[in-house]
Amino acid sequence: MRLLERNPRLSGLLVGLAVLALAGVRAQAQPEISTTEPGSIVVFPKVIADGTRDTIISLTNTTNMMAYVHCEATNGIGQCVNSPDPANQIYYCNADEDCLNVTDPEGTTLANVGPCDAPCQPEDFDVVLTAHQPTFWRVSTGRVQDPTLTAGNECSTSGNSQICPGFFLAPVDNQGAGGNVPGQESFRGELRCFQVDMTGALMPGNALKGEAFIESIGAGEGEGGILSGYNSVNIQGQDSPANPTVAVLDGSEYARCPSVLTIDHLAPGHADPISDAEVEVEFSFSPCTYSTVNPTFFRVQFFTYDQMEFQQSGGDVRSCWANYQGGLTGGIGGRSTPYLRSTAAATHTGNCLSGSPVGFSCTSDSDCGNGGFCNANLCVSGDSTGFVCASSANCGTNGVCGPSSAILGVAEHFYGDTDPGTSAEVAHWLGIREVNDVMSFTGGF
Amino acid sequence: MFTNWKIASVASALTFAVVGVSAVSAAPDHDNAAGLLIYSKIVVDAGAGIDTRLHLSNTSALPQMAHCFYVNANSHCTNTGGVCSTFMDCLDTASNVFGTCAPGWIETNFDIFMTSRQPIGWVASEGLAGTALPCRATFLNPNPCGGQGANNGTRIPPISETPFIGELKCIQSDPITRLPRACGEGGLTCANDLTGHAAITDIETTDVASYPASGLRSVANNGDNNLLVGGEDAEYEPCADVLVMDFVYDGAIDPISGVLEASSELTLVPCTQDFRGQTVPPVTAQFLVYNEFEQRLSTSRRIDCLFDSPISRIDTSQPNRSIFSVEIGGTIMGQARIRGVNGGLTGMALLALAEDFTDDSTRVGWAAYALDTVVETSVADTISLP
Repeated sequence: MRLLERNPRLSGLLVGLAVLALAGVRAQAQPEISTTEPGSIVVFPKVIADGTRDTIISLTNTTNMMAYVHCEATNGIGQCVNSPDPANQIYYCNADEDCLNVTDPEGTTLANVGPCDAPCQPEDFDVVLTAHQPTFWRVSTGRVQDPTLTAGNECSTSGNSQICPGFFLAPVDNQGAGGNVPGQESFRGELRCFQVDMTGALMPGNALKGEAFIESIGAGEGEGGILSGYNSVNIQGQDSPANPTVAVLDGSEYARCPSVLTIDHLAPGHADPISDAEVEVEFSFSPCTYSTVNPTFFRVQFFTYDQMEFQQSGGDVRSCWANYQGGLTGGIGGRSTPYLRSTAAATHTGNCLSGSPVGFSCTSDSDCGNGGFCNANLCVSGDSTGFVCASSANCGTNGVCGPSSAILGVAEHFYGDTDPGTSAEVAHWLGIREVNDVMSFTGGF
Repeated sequence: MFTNWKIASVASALTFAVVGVSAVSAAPDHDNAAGLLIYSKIVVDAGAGIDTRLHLSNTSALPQMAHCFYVNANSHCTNTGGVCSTFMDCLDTASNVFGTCAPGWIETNFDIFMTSRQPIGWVASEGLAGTALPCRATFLNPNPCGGQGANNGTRIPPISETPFIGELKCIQSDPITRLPRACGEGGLTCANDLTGHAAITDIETTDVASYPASGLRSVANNGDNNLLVGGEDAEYEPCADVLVMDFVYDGAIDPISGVLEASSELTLVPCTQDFRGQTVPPVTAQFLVYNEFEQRLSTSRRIDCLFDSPISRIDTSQPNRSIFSVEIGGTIMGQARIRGVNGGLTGMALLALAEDFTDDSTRVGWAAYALDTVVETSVADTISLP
């Protein structure tokens, strides 16, 4: 009889140990970065709410436990602040010179509508998801929680926000503000969401997945509704982070980012082989490394291949977020074919590209053996940002010498001139990089 | 709001311990180049103005060859032979008698030879062959594109009939034997160089719904014509045991336009297929559907070869009564977990906005997306090649 009384406790203990052991065994596998497996950090590399198009973000908890989520929306593109008609006409820019000699909708050239208001301002908010809960919000309006709203088939607008049927819990933050997802007006940038625990500390629960649907807004009735959709990039976590608001993407705490992105696309300017509409292509890139304090600087090299093995290359230096229209390498030239493939990869990753041992850390060519080439690090901040460096001492005051951030990307096609059809694809990738990226935020909840 | 740090920490630890069980596992890979690509939905309908553009790329610096299989999943009338959806399409006007609409599964296979790093594309209704090939070697010009290889030997047929609904599988293969490329010693040199996506185009609106092909990476291919997908002796990464689909409930009002209605389509393909014997063992798909209130409804459906349906017709012929209908779900967004009971599944989803979600002709725009995948078991699927 005593044995029978003890058995349930023993069984419970064994079950508990078995669960923990199983978790431990599985935890030996490498965390992955994926668009089709749930992760602990989800990144939407292209989010638009600029008056001509808007985005619906769907975010889902795929587990049977509650999921606490801290999100950071970064407006990646600046605006020229001296537009003569700021209410109706926004000129987007990356630097002051982008605001010189712009053309207004009537075709008039405006000498200077600058300066360019600094881009890369992040805004954060929190969301709580119950077990298996799906949720969504419209980016331009955000979403206000209203537990009294009954089930129904449509949302209603409340001021500049939107109230929708369904259980939507956005907690009040530590300052007593919030209680909703804020709207993002005039927004072109990226969104990333971190799974955290109820204290706001990072938690690698791998519960999150999502999609973004970018939709055209019609000027009148019966217009708009043209859709692009893509899956979020999900970064799995594994080990509990040492710092509660710093995610190290080292293959142990969180999955490492891709080494090279590859994108199949149509040639800009060509006719779509089916509809015969002229095609434009837009590429958007988010850096893997992220900080709410300093916009991430990244240096990228592009290659574009046509169907006849013709190859063209280009490169660029950007911070925070990058958006390219009309191809990555300025057009493929006279041998252009309708189907192209482009690759994009961060340069200067601080490891040996040739020689021996390939892939190992280096600061100069001599570290890579006889005849080796060191893809040396860059000053990613400080007075010498963008220059090759061997240590942070080379980067000036408060400068940091490190690898250029990896990137994540989305390509979007536009078919036709007026009210064009659209489609979006997340870039595939070729391998995982061998150096770490770091994402940090100021804390949520 | 959550100030009890100790309770929070314990809860977090327990949560992590539990969810960690299923945290990390290999699954179908839409992101890396792979040795086997599955395009789950190819649609051509000349009458409705719909066609599909297909992209396939060789990411390797060496020439590669893919052996591909179009699967025609049309149903046909037993009396007239025409393409049908239901028996109502099978009226023989000569005899005034209805025939039966019988499900079909017909494969057509072909080869694609790609040069170094080459992107290839074609339109499903047209195919790609002859002078349309970008790199055609001739006796006088054996190296037409200046690098390695040529497209000679490639003959992509147009799809066999219209309207057409089906899938495409492409397997990176040996150009001599046409069998899947075997991995080298220790699996270090498995052939995983293919990427691709499909773009379903509405010619009238010019809107395009594109989705990535599901990639299964070769992990230990032995080069024979029997492919083990997942399982203990896996030659390729496993298919999903559970697919997770976020969806907008059918009939929900689009939150951006405020007037258009949402409708979604789901396409599922069983992983196990016998191209040699021309059979596909049926799989039962179980659906668990969650709304934003965490309320759960379920249904199930037999998947014979390729399943393609508006979501609100998965469980009923009356969309307003479906568990995928906003009138039943009560919220705008839902999540469906789709489990293949006796076999793995792949698939994709498509969201459309229309003036009336029950009428495709009022469609304004659409977008496709991949389904998330969860691998929980080690049961193998098999693909048998001729």
